[in-house]
Amino acid sequence: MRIAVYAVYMSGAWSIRRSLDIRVDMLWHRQEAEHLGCTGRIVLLDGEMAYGLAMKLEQGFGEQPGMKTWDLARWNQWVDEALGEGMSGTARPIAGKPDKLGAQTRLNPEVWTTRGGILSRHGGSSGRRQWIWDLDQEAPEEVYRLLAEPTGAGRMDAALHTASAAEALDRQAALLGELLRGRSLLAAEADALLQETAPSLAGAWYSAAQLASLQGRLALDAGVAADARPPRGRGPLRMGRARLPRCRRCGSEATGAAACAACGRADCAYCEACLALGRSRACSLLLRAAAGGAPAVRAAAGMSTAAVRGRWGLSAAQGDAACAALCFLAEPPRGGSAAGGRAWRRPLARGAGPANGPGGIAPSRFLLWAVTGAGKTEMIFPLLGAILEKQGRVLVATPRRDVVLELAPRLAKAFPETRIVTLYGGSSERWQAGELTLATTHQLMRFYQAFDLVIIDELDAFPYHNDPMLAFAARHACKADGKFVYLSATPPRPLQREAARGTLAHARVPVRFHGHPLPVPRRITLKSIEQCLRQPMLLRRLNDALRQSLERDAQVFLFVSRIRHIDPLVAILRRIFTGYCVEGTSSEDPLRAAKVTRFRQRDIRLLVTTTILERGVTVPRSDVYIADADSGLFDEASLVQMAGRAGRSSEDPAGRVVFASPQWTLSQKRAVRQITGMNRIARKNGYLKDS
Amino acid sequence: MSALSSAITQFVRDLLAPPGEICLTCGSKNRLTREWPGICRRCAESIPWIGKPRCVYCGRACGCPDCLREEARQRSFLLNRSAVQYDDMMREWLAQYKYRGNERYARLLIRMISQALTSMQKEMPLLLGNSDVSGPGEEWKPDLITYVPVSTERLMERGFNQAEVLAEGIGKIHHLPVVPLLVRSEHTGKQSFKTRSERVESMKHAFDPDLEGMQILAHVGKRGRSIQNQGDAADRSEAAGALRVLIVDDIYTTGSTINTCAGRIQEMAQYCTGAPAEVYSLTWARS
Repeated sequence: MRIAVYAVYMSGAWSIRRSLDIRVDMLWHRQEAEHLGCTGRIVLLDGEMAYGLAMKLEQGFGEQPGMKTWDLARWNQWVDEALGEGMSGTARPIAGKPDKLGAQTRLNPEVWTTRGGILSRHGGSSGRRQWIWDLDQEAPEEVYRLLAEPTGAGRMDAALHTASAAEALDRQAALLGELLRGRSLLAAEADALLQETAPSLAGAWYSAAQLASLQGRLALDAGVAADARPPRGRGPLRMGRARLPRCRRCGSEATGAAACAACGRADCAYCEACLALGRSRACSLLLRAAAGGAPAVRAAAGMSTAAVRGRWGLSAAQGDAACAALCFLAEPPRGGSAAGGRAWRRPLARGAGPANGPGGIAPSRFLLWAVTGAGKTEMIFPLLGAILEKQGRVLVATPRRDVVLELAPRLAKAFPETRIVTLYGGSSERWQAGELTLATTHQLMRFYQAFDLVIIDELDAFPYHNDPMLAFAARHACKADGKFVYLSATPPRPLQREAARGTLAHARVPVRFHGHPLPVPRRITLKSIEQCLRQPMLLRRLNDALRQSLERDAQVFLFVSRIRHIDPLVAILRRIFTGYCVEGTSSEDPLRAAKVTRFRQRDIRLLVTTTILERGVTVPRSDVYIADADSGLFDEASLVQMAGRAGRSSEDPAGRVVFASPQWTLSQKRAVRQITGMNRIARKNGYLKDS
Repeated sequence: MSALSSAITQFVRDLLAPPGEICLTCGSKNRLTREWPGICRRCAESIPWIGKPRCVYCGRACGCPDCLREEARQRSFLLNRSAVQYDDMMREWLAQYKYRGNERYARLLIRMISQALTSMQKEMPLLLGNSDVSGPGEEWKPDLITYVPVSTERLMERGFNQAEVLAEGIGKIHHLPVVPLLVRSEHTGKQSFKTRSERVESMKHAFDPDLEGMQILAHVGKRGRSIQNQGDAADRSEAAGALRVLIVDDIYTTGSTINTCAGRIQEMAQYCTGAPAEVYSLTWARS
């Protein structure tokens, strides 16, 4: 889009401002000047500047001596200097407009194939329109003309300088501020939200948004812009790298750039990382709730463990961990702990983007480290309850859509009084607001400082893990003084280390809900599957173990590292175990869901699969075999998760877990150590039933 | 420490990793093809090219009942050719480009439609049966390329007009002038939400002549065709004297969009040059 840009002198200082509706700004500043009884000056620099350039102008602004005496020519010179190379060529089609009518006399095809002509046709039709207005004097003629002429699309139609219109606009601005509270939305998304929640505003909210931004209710940002901070020296490694602008919504570097008809620039940058949520580009308006809203609420302190357990029906281990988390929620906010263990690491963290919040306060974090099958979901209920009863807003983010759909009815049952919004790709509740939001990870990008408590489920699972974009989104969704609770059975190593070092508040749930210890993996030596497929006799040791499991009537998971191994392995196993149904499934299998259901119903007895089934599948009475356990594709976390499929039901708590591999690797060792360590803690704390 | 060490190990891994880049369309890390920008061999091989169209009118790869209808004879354009069949994969590609706005697809789609223009150029002399007249050295080519416009509203929302990008792209590759002849006169809503009859109805008044395009048309019409007219036999003068316009769009479904545009261009040509134009259509996909 294109936007008006002006310089304003108010209370002794100059600043550059963007405006969606310049009339609102004129009236606002004149009123302010009258109110303060001081002089002021507005210089309209450009009525329609490409939004990206306007951002650049505003960010790079530094007051210069004598600006008060500058005339329009001097201001123009300054604008040209400030925009530098961004001004040349097609960036400013008004200046360099190729004359198409002149071109036809030459009839040179090359002239027509330039984009410039098209850009100027849709870009700025009117030329630069400029004026200077000293607020204590009579307004220039252009100002009156501006107020009188019909307004552009998206703006309020009424004559704004009348009292009734001003009042109506003020009401609209307040409404807009309220509707967009805690949001971070592109203009198109904001419009969709208004279509649903306030149809009277939809399509005509520019004027209201401008007033709301002047009032400080709303921040008007750009989808993609350079970091506000001036580039500082960041050591020799950083120096050679070109600094690309960043997406303000997802924090990634904006790697794309293309000619844009909306702003007329030939290299309008856009973000390729979050295209799925609608394109964020240098000239798209990003509406954001103003930072520094109400402080985050805290949970009430002093609930006894017994009361919590009784109210929510938790086991001893669950109750202790939930109470530790509740104490954390009752704590006053602390500074800066979300940025990592030590301060000096911060510059290296990717996806840093704009600063966390005012005064360097960042949300504080808590890790709830619960073994597989411990009943994590039940444990978050007391935490949700504690914040909700203080009228706080809570977000539960989970990586998978089916978890959202499964969790929603359970939460609705536990909190019947609360409005629950479930968000996922294609959800119909996209624009609704509620106290309790249940969302898949990408939906977090539509929020800004909205929640008092953010609970992130399965922190180490696929979309979060190593994705700076989602970490950025999660940080922005939480209030600056809010709280984070991470749930994981297998936290990533940096977090484990922080927990061990004591810099990260955490609680462990070392035992399953049924009170039996976790099955400890046993090891058998087996050649790699690659080789076994060529020489099936080598599979004998594995087959013996599998037969034992099948004969003790257990359901058998056999995990392999490669999809291509599944079919040949299934063929071999079918020949050996003729009496049992053997199937294989992978991410490429369209019948996956059906096969998992059949496996659960004990129709299929042996299922050969990959890591896609490592999480979230609960099959009673199951044994787990992991072939090629030394593969680099199985890290500590996935080994622990796969081992966690065994012995989950209280009828058969002692399932078997077998790591079959030619080598004993560090990941396997660590996985076993983690499992035995948890069992030891459980025994020590007396959580185990048989001890 | 962990951030630094992981940065270093990542760097070493990148050095040791097999060569390859991320394929634009399937996302796997692979060696990319040379001829199709940004995609891997596997994706390139699964492009459903329309090598030999079954229907000579609309360029469909399979039999085409539409072109056998009575009203199809009254169409304002001669024929359509498309690069690919619009299958699920192509639908996904176009959606990525057009609706998601991933403009890295532009280069790929341009190359694909340019390929279609090349084969159209080979096919045309045989089809029109005038290969003996123009001689083997002279290839069939349109006098100018134009494209199906989108409404200003859609243009602002999307930031680009996919048909325009395709037209500009092939204009550059084949050294042909690209002239915007039409503008969208009203907002007709998204075509993909409509039935066949609704589409035909809403199309009737959707396009207006572009004034600058008109002037260029008048100029090209006078100059470009007067040279060729001289040597032609009297019975073929009418066909040869006509201006050859190639209209470009992303997808051809019922042909109603192209037909309406072609009708408008016929009127404009009649007005500016005094003779109807030969309008051909080139689209990226044929559904």
